[in-house]
Amino acid sequence: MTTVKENRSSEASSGVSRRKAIYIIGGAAVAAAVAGGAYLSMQQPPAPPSQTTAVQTATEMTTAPPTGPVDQLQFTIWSWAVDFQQYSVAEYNKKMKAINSPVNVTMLDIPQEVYRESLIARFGAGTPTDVFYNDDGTVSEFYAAGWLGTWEDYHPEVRDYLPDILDPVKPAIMAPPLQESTLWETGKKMLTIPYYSNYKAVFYNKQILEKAQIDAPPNTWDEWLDQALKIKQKGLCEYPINIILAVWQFWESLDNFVFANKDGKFFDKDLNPIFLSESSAVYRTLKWWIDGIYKYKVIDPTIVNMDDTAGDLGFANGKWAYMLDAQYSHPLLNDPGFSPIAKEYPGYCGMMRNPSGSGDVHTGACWIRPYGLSTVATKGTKEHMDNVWNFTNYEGGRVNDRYEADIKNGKLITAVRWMQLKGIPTAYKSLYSEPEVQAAFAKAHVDPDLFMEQYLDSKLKDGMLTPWWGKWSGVYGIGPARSALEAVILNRKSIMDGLNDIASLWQNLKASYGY
Amino acid sequence: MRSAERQFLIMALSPALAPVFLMTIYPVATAFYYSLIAYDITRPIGAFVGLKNYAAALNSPGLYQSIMATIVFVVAVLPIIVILALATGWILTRNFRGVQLVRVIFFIPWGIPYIVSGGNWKWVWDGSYGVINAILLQLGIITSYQAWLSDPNAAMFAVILGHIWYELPFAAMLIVAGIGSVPQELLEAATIDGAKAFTVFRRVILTWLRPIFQIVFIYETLNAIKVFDIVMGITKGGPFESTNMISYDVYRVTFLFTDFGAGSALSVILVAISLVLIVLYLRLIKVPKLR
Repeated sequence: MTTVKENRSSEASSGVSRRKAIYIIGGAAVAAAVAGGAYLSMQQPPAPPSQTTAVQTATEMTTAPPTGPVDQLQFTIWSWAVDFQQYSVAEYNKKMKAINSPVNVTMLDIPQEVYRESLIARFGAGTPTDVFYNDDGTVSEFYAAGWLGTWEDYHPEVRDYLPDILDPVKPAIMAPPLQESTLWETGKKMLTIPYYSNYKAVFYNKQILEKAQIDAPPNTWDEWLDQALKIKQKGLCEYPINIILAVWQFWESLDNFVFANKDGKFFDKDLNPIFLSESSAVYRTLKWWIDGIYKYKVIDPTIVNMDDTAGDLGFANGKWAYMLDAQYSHPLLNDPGFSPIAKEYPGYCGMMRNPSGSGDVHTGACWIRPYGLSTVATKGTKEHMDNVWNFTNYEGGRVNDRYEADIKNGKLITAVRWMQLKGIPTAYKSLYSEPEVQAAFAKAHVDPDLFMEQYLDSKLKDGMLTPWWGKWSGVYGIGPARSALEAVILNRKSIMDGLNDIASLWQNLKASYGY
Repeated sequence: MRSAERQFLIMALSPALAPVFLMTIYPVATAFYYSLIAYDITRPIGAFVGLKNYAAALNSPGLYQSIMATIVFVVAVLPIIVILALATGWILTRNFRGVQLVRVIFFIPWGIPYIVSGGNWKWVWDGSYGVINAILLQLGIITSYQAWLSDPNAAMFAVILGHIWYELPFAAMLIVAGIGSVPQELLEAATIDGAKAFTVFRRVILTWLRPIFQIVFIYETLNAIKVFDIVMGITKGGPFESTNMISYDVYRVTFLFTDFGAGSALSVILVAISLVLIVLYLRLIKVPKLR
């Protein structure tokens, strides 16, 4: 048996002491780390990009990754209606098999709350990605980083979709996706096609309004407050008004109120903040909210953490008389399988024009979710790009029976499916004259004229189409501007202090991008 | 050492050490490298900035706030976890009917993915449907549902509670293993010498458990410092950054603000704080030699 002593003497005689071994290994580790660092440093470009070429930089930084086989497509989505997309992708793969095409799509879903951050990591690492859900709040940032390809560069016929797309959401699907201002040239190309589009809607519970002997929903903020007070006094709701602010709806809800005012904007044409006065629409909105929560106690105090799941559930059970939510919740709220009120009062949930804060303006906030064409995909062969093009059209545009892009004569297969199965509207005007869609509207007690009137009187979020929007707002996360405004809404910071904070953040970011 | 021997030594050790280089040394070295450059991943200029990222991080009010939040969190969770782990560990080593079932139930939280438990706790504290509101309302403690997660103190409490709930089973499991390893003859000898139950617990069992406590303290301190999932699940650092712990701040700076340089500097600062604490623990908790 070998003893410890013998082992030690054996080490000594061979000259390989434990300490020396550690030195050798440690030295090798340091050498590897230094070599890795040196290698990485060689990947950095020598000089900062100029303002005009800023859009190229991030892609240049990463080594161009190999694209997958031409017939294998990668599709990334956020985790919403995953079952629907699994079905949709399976149908596509089934069709490809049926027509003897080797094309096969694999899908990855990422939680929505970390979607932007996950995509940033994904693109930063150069992970192969072909098509991905894109938020209008990340379009400008991803485009500027060089991660988002422009379909019109590869398939100019994509522009044929344009006349059919609703005007309010067009700016977010055009390249360069930058807010109209004096800062940028706007010779636009069509970037991509939409996955869906929608807007904020103010719902009201007809049953509660009837009990409160209110004949019609409010037309202005003043009328809204009066009605809410009346409902509260009658004991019909503890807090008659609910505003969905959590997760992704924070900026949509805020903009929806701001836009319903004369000069309802955050920024001027040079993208300078114009909200630092008590007469600004942003200030007036925050004041109305804070008074509603703390002074009149008619707005639910939990709105900062109120997501659409909790909101829809509460509204469907009569918790609030009014709710600002995504319009697409309307069919769900009127579904007797979801709402006990809908069983006894079909169509109890109505939608009204966005109440006006001033100047008889009823404009609201809308959004669009376009399919992103990854610039990784654009480095592939033409055949691969054609496969990506066909799949993108299957998911968001018009295709023929072989699921090939056919903008003139094809059908909006997936868009109609979304509408029928999930009540998710799209940006195509022509979709709303399809009999299936009209039937879906009728079933959900959605007034098609009011639906379109509010849609056309809506705008994309102000300031969103700038590369620094994500850093300022957080998109789905809680960015510094959102955090400051949450402190205002929770009455921990004065309105003007909060607005000064976000204005200062905005100007610093804008300057850091060279604008 | 001869060259051949050196080569053999490196060759023999390389299969085991390669993953260490790949998974530990390389990422740490990369993070350190990034902390010295201006690296916004959406517009990566990559210029060497020396210690500017550190200076910016140390001068930012955000770091001060996140360090304060982390200190509050660590100071709150650590003693509670240790005391509760000792108490539950003691109970779970007793012989009573159904002890196995109690053990299984007690360890369930540890088997749930942390981020999932964070999501569940968010619903528990929900201002519209939360069970906490329901219970307090039934008990007459509150008259209407409260927006707990909009209140900085309540939000911090929610995160602390969620973390303790998740971490307690593992700490208790270590204690259970430690108590189970106390030599029977030691306990018998103490009893024969006339020691009462409390004295046996204090003098024999607690002494025997010291190395276990060392592990629990270090492990739980590090877990508390790098807490992320429960913050992500319940508060996302809010309201207005009151629960923005330093590890969550690293995530925010790196991925939300896409500033990998500043995020890496914060990571290095976080590692430095952790190392200081580990060394401190190792020095403070001296393990006695039991004969």
